[in-house]
Amino acid sequence: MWISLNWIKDFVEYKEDLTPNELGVLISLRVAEVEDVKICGDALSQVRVVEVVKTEPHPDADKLKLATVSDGSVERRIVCGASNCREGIKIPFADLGAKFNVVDKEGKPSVFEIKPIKIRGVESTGMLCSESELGLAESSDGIWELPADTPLGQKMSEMEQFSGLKDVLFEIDNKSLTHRPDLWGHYGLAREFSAIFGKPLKEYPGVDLSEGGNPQFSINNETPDLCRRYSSLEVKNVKVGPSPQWMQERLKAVGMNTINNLVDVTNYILLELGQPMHAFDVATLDNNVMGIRRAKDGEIFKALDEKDYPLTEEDLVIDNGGKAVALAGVMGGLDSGISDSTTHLLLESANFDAATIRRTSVRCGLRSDSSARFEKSLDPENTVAALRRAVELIKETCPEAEVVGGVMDSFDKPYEPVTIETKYSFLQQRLGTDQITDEFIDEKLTALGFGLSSDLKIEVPSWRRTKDVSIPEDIVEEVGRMFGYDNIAPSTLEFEIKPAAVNNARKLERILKAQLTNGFGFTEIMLYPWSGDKQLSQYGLSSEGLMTLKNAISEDCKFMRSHSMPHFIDAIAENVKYFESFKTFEFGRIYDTNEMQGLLPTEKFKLCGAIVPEFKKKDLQTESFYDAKAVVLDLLQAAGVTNPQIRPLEGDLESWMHPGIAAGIYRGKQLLAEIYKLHPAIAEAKDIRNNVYLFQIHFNEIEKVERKFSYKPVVKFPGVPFDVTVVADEKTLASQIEQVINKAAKKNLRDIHVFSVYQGEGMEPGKKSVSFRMTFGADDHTLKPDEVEGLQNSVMQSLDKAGFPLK
Amino acid sequence: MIEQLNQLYEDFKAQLSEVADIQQLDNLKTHFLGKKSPMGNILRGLKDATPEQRKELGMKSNEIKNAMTDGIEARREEIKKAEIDTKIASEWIDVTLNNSKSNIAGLHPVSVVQYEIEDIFTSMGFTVLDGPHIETDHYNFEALNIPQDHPARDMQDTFYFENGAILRTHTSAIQVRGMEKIKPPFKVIGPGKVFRVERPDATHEAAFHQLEGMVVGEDINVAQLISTMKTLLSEIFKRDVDVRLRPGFFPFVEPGFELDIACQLCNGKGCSVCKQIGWIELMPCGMVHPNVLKSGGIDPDKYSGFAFGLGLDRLVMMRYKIEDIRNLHSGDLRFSGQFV
Repeated sequence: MWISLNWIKDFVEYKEDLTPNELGVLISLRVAEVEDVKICGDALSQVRVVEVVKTEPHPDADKLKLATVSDGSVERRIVCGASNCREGIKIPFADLGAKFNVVDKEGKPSVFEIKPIKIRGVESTGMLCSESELGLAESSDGIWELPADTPLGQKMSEMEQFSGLKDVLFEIDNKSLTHRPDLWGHYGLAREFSAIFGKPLKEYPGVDLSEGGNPQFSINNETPDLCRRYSSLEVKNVKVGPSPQWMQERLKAVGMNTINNLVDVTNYILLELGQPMHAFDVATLDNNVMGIRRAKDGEIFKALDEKDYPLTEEDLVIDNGGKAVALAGVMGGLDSGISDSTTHLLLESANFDAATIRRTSVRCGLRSDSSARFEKSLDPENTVAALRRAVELIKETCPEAEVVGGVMDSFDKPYEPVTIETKYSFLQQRLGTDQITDEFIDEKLTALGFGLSSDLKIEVPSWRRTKDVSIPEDIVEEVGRMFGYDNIAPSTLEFEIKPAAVNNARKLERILKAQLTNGFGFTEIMLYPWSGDKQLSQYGLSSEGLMTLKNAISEDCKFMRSHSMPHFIDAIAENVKYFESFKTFEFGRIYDTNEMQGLLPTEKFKLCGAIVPEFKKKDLQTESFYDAKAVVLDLLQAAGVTNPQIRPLEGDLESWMHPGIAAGIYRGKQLLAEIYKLHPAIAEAKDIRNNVYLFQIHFNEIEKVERKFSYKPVVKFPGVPFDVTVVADEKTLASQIEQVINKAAKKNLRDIHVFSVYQGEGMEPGKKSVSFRMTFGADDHTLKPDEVEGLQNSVMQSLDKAGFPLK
Repeated sequence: MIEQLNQLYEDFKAQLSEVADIQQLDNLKTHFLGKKSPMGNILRGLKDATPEQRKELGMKSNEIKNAMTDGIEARREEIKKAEIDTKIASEWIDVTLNNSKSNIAGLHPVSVVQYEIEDIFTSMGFTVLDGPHIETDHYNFEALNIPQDHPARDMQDTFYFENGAILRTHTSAIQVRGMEKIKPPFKVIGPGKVFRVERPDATHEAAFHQLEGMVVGEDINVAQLISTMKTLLSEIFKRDVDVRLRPGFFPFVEPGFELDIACQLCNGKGCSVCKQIGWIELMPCGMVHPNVLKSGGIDPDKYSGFAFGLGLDRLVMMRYKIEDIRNLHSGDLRFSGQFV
């Protein structure tokens, strides 16, 4: 929202000892965020008024003209491209040597000087200016035609009639005014100036309408809950025409279009007081009862923008003769508004329910200057003030305008008075400074319109009590911002010294990630948590039961993922385009709707990892599975998980898991992690040539495992090595054979591992040989030769009995 | 006999000069200095000599023995050195070749910055809290003093689920969950992903990261908020940072502030980054609204507190000069592989 300093100065005396930028900063620090400061009218000192005395065609360009201009004594010839350049008009003229401050697209200021220039072979000595070139409008259509009676030759900055154009504009961030209905007009900001600078605020102007009389119209408010107040005034003998120059300048300066003298008055008051108004043409109304009612479901409203809006019972309309003539607080109707022939007005100045207006404008996609204000909970005390001001302003262009019958005012639901009881010490303590005196508090609160009694019972003014100010903390804000938060000296937090609770899950997450990155060379990636039908079907998943967004940004982001591996595999498919081999992981959440807690799914952490070896190195590819397994086991160990069991993955496998190359790591029945090769069908579909080895760690299960550590004394007695090679079926698991040995050697088996597996020449087809190296030993003595022999025999016999003959 | 000894020494020298390796040298040593050495044969003739001659010959033979030993050892050193030189000469490699992959890799930059900031906070006694991404209207809005139809809901375009749940729009949703678990006085932070309906472009994302902080105790005030923020931000930026508060509206705090820091590029003098203002808007903060404390089961008459929200992605992008926020969730190793 743009705020004009000239406009503010209508209501408060402000001494100009601050630069526009300094003033902007001060508003930001005390009131609301100023996003931009614009200085207007500076360029007027660089131009003087000239008349176009002659135009000729440019000899070498159809769209250009040669204009001879005169300021009464000097003539210049200008090459001009504006279509409205013609003999007899008066134009601002920048002579040679005139300098303009310009700002480039990046906000860098520089100076532009007018110099003689040849345009298509003809010399041009000066420039005819448009309003936008003089920084007075965002855009202009052609050069600026000044009124015909403008005297020639004078510098425009020195002419009284253009003095209103010299202004400073502040752009205030609308978001920072969300809670301040009073600041949606210049008068409210003038009150802030009055409090900041300690200058009196002038009373809001307007004609006296207290006379009353017999209003011709009546108001029928069916929904006082949604319309606290409806004030209206009938005015006849008006005539549609242009607004006065000064009003047009003001409106244009803050970015409001000018339409005609009547509509402009309502817009002017909207910008000045923040009170939206509407004007009905009485000639278009069916009868003299204005109703306020809920719309009927399916009722169609034809708005000023010539569009049809289907309404619901949630919406509020202004009714006349059973027809909606306005969508309350949002937009007027097409047929009942001001037209060029309007002579008889019914002004509306109402106070509608914020939530209702907001819902309607959101649902219809109609955000107007009016709805933006109503949804902030406006002060209902302003409705009549706006009418008084409107009559004053209308009379300026329509002196014969006449009020019919006085104000009609249906004030059905005033706000309750709000009184806040607090203490000076509370305000000072909460702000944390002893620099704020009781007198300062009194002075500023009074200037802001608060009523004070001696024991600091604070009466909140009507424009702040609609929602904004209701508790002592709100008063803390008023005092704090007026003092300036930037003036409060920092003071140290005093806190008891005690250890902060540790987030164990986060600690574990970081242990695992540190291992993966610095230990194993895995790079972390981050992926979105949502999925779409396309991805789900590619991976053989169903969308049934998934958390489904109503307003997803695209079809691919409709569901919250219940598995993270599909996203991870998709990322791998992208990365194989750029890397021959890599290792990567993602630590993220899945949203499990099988375990709902009320509306919310259970969010579980999953760690997905991948080893993607180079495509060519076939020999490495079998190893990569075991590399992945080693990584997972090491991670589990780092996480403090003892004695995990590894077996082929049990249960139904997901579509992306290779059924023959998939292991699960368990603790009892609980699956802690799985390691597998990417299913060739998915690899094919995703155009991945590399053999990809994947693992997923079920973080929440790991976190639950109780971490135990038990120290074993260093063994003092030597061990005896023993190798054995057995023949087994090719699909026999080494772990099964190991179990047999384990059982046979019992506690004397210190260590065992497979050192060779052989299949091929010399072996029966379908068979393999597996060689184990083990160490026998005892904790309390050195094994005697006969003990060793006994163990060896026991192992060999057991193996044979179990169907694993020695080779 | 002296001549014999001299002759022997000459023979030794001749042979020593021809020795090529350690093996030959050891053979030579055995031959000349071993038990069956020619020297022994010569000295066996001593039994017929006079005591003077014996003495003279003894001295002479010792002299030659020592010379031989020295000669052999010197030669041994020479050979060893030559062998090492040969080895070195044969062992040149092209050090610019690199066939083994590095085994150090990096965290995602958001993790790097988030963990670093978590460490700063925990070192000052803050506890790290988590909360769900999918939230109820209660924790994300109602309990934070943002009722239905409040215009503040506009600030945060919310993702809604069919069942009425939402994706949390800010980490402030962690506040009330935290208060339900921890009793004051406390200092907590809650980092994590948040979501807003936003078409992603270079500076906007639908999924991004924030870090919420909250301090609750008796008599917590604005001056302490300023001091705490100044200390923490100085740690985060690794230099002394000036902060400035100005009014800002957020329904869950009262009063609410926008916290600006002095522009790190121009030190507050004004430049294109800070739009000539010298200050950069960094984070919203404020004194916790009494209604929010109540939502969390804390008595606002007894306790007060402050809360703040830090945009992590913005810090990440500032630190690494990342040009496009969409890189963060791209899963592209060309991007995330850089932060080792």
